[in-house]
Amino acid sequence: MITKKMQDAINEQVKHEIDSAYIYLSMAANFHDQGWEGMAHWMRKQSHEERTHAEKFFKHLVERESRVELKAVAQPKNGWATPLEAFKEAYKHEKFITGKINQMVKLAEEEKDYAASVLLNWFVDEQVEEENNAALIVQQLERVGDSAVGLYVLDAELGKRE
Amino acid sequence: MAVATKSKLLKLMNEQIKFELDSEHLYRSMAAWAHSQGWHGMAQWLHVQANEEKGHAMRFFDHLVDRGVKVELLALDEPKRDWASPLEVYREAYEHEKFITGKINDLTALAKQENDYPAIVMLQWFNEEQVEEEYSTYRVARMLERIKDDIGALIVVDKQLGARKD
Repeated sequence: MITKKMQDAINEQVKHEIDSAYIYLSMAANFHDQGWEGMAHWMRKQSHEERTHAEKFFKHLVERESRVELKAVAQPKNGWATPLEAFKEAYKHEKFITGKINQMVKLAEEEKDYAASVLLNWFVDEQVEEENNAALIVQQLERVGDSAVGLYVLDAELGKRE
Repeated sequence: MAVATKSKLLKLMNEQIKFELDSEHLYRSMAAWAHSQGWHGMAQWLHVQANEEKGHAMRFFDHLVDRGVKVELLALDEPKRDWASPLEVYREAYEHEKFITGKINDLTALAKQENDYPAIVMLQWFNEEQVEEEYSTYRVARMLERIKDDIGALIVVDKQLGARKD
């Protein structure tokens, strides 16, 4: 059995993951518009990954005989002046998500909800990867600066994401 | 910097992304309800349907990108969460598909008015798709109408619906 508090927390997290998928899709749209096709591709993949995260939490509630309650999805921001600005925001967003995961880890500990703890441990690891990926790209973009060749190469690299 | 300006049609297409994603969200919510009622087969069918709607949304997204138009994502509504019965779910699904068909028809008419040939061709896929969508939801609703509260029949139907794959 799952407590109402945990159910609510997980439903909230489903919302956060879906919101994330939507923000990244908006970043993809933005990159397409600016002609950064590689970065657009990277963002589409990231958006898809966030969906799989939402699905994991959704599935967990179902498997705990608990109720999934989907919420509205906010209109995402829709313009970033530069790739650096977009990826800086992506990094900031991942840190926000990590914060939410960490809150849930604490809640699961308090409630001795071991099943939820195991699920959340996966997300703790995942968030390390997410933050690192975003941070790395920010670092590369900062290093490249305004170099057209640098940006071109980086865009091509990011376009290779599977 | 957009390469092309948004015609009335392309603006409407941008909005269609929202309608398709709203559909995805609604079907996902229906699946959540079905799970909570123990209709896991129906839930599977509804999950697959939701995934399909996402694919539809991305078709419009991709068309706009290909046309050099900037896509603007819009807010999605909080979906309904509770239904009285599986029959009610599928009746609503059928009504919803008819609503979507209406939107596709509006787009089609406008595309013809604007002589937007790439859009006309692209929308033909949706004209056909909506026939399938309306039919598939109608079929299930009709079956559920026939079996009413017969729990044995419902269990069999639930199992059949659960066989649907992505």
